[in-house]
Amino acid sequence: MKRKRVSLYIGISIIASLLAMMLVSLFYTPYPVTEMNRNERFAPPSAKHPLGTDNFGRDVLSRIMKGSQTAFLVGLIAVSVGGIFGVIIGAIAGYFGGILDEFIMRLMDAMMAFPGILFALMFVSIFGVGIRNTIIAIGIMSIPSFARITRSGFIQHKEFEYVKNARVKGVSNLRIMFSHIFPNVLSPIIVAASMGFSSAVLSEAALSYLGLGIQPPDPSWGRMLNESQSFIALSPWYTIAPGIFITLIVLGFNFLGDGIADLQDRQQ
Amino acid sequence: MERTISEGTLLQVRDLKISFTTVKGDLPAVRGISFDIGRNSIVGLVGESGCGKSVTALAIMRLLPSNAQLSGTIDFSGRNIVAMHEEEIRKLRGSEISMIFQEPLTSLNPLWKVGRQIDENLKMHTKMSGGERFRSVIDIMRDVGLPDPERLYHKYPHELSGGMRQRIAIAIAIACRPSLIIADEPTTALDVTIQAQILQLLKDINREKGSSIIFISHNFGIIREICTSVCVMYAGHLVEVAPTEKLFCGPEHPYTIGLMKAIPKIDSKGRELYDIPGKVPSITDALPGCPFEPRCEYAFERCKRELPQFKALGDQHESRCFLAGELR
Amino acid sequence: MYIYLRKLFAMLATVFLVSMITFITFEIIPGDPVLARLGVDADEAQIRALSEELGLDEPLSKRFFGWITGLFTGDLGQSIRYSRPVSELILDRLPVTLSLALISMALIVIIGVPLGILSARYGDRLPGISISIVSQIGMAVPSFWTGIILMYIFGLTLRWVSPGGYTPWSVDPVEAFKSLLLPAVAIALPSIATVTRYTRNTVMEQMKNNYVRLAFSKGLKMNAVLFRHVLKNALIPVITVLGMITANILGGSIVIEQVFTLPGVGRLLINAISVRDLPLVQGMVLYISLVIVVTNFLIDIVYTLIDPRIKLR
Repeated sequence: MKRKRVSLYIGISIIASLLAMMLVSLFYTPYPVTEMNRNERFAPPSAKHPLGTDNFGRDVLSRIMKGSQTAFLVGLIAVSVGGIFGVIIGAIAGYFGGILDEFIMRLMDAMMAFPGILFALMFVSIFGVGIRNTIIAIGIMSIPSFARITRSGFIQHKEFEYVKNARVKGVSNLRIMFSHIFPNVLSPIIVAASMGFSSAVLSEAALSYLGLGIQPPDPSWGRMLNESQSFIALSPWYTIAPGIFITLIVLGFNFLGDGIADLQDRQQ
Repeated sequence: MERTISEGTLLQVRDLKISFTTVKGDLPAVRGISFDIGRNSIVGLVGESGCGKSVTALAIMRLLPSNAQLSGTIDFSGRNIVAMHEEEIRKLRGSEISMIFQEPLTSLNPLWKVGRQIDENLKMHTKMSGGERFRSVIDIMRDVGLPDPERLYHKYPHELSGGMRQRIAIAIAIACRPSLIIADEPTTALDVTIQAQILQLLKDINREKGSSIIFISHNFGIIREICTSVCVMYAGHLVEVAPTEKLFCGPEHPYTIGLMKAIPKIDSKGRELYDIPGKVPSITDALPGCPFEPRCEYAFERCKRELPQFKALGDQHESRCFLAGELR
Repeated sequence: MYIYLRKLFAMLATVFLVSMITFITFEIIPGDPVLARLGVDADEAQIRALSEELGLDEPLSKRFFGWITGLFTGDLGQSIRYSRPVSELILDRLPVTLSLALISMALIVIIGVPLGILSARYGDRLPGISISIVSQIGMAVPSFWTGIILMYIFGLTLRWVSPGGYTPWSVDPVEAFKSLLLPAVAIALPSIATVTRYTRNTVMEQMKNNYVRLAFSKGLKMNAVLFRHVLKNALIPVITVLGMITANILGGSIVIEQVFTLPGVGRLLINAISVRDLPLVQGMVLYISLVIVVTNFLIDIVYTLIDPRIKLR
């Protein structure tokens, strides 16, 4: 049983460290992110540049730190947007049922038929690239999974005694949904949020790698991978750092989500 | 209680202790029980949930999870099951000792035809050819009272009724003519009418094929109907052992007496149903004295301190109470 | 019989919805599609000509029906950039993407399922735990990064395969396979991890069942119980996950084709988006999503066929 907590602790440590790095980067990075140094292009990791330098001689560590801001920002807003809309849609579908539920679920299924990246690509092809559209696209992409989880929670709970009691007492549907049922469904939603975060980071990275996501000068780990690939023959080091950090933050939120899910299991 | 293995004894359990190692520590499920299973007998193992009867059954077949610790001896035809290697006990399973579980729907593989599930036993333990096995399976299916076995062979479990499924489970259990069958609440999940048929079937198997049966249940009525002798368990201990009629006509342990009183009788209309006061102790409680003492109306000082030994009451009747023989 | 018809109907409903969403997205939302295509400086004549050609003076419903019927005849419109029918362009690139997808799927099933079974068998011991950890990492690593690294190691450094590019099957099957192997591995990795975890879970779930205890009580060995009894039961839910895996593969190939510069549907899509060749984008989006919907439907049918418990309806 103690073993099950491991996921949670690993997740928390990773996220906390990255978060700390992100917060520090708001005030300080070892080098100015845009400072170029012709003489030090493609340097391998050293004491001076722990993660090496890129094709313009810019310090990779500083750029990674700045890139973490984007990662967290995109993840946070996309998950919030997707979460809020998804939960509302799922709650309505689960609670009221009937044709509304059928229709909503068909819609969600249709949305889930698109691979995530495809949907995001569709979106930016219409509305253009950039950080705002990237966040919106990813946010919309995460709606179906929140909707599904919320919906099953509501379907389950609406049959419970306490809901029937509340109805008999004349409590309005809206209140029942959000004051009574919602707190009970919160746990799986939080797990979905954690997983959604890692999913959002991966999607943004892919999008930015393709050049269709975050545009310069906004920093992005995904776009750094694109830049580094062109020069991979000259310096493989530049490709390693962004990939590792993307993996870390995704790993962190995955472990976190798993850990919270395990906690729930045990409570039950 | 020392007894040498006589000709008529199939299984001899001595001081069997079973505990489970968990993060919360060692949980003792069975605290040292001893009993005999004779040839051609049907022995009932009766007690409330959690008294350790199912665990005992699984222990005889060494089917307990890996965190279970066994000590004591389970003597089967001269070999100690507790000490056997996995390879040795595997040879016994299905061929000499077999088991029937409580829930017939879930104990059959939903994706296999029922006939094949019986066939598997024969394939494993005999050298019969495919054709011979098929005919054998059909015969066995007829033996357990299944109609139209040739057609039924190719059906899947979910296509059969509960009673038929249990007959299939029984067929699987008797396929290799085991000398011992362990039936763990085989009729609990069935309709009352089907129950009667299955009980009759088991009696027939015992009589005609000579298999001994350990019949586990919490239902006294059924026990009385089918068993030749009964072992009563409480909180991991064996508290009374007797031939069936002797137990029912003259129980000599406060727990057994209490259980008998609790059986609703046809003429007790209008009177409150008797319930033994108190609760079954949890598996983690440490019990220095008699486990039933807290709930016992005959208890006295010694019962708290000392665990009673078995007192022989003649005629293979034993009770683990200081007052055995004097209670009525 | 009934149940198949119901599923077919559901699939067609989804197809309809997907087409509608695509239509709305590409025909209506961008505002004036003519200007979107020609740019703001186009002159009157061009605008009128294109409007007529696109049938924009017709009512919306008529346009939509035109679009739908076009789907059935395989007419997805004309690409602006290449001045060729969209369907032709897709067909050209199809073999590459399809081969890539098939190789990836094969890798996923051949590696993922056995690994999952292994992980379940030795769940609490070293192999089980290490597989768990590795699969966690596998799911977290971005596939395009894996692709870059693989290409660097095997393409540039070791030179076992050529770094990027593609040789058609018809020219040299061995070279073709070599050029697709690394991309397939990159795409497959996260899905292998997912399938491993999922298989492990279903197997462990099945092991808790009564029929497993009965199997042991017959005297069967662990391997026999696992492979003869548990496996089939455990794999049924895994089949349902294959639908999601298909979506992952197709999505992954869009990015990976870019990493390895493979002339597939995905790369065409990215190019089309960069130059705002909306008819081309629209056609490909629709095509890819339809492939997924139909694949899900087929998987669903297979699932129904395999599980005898469902036949009875």
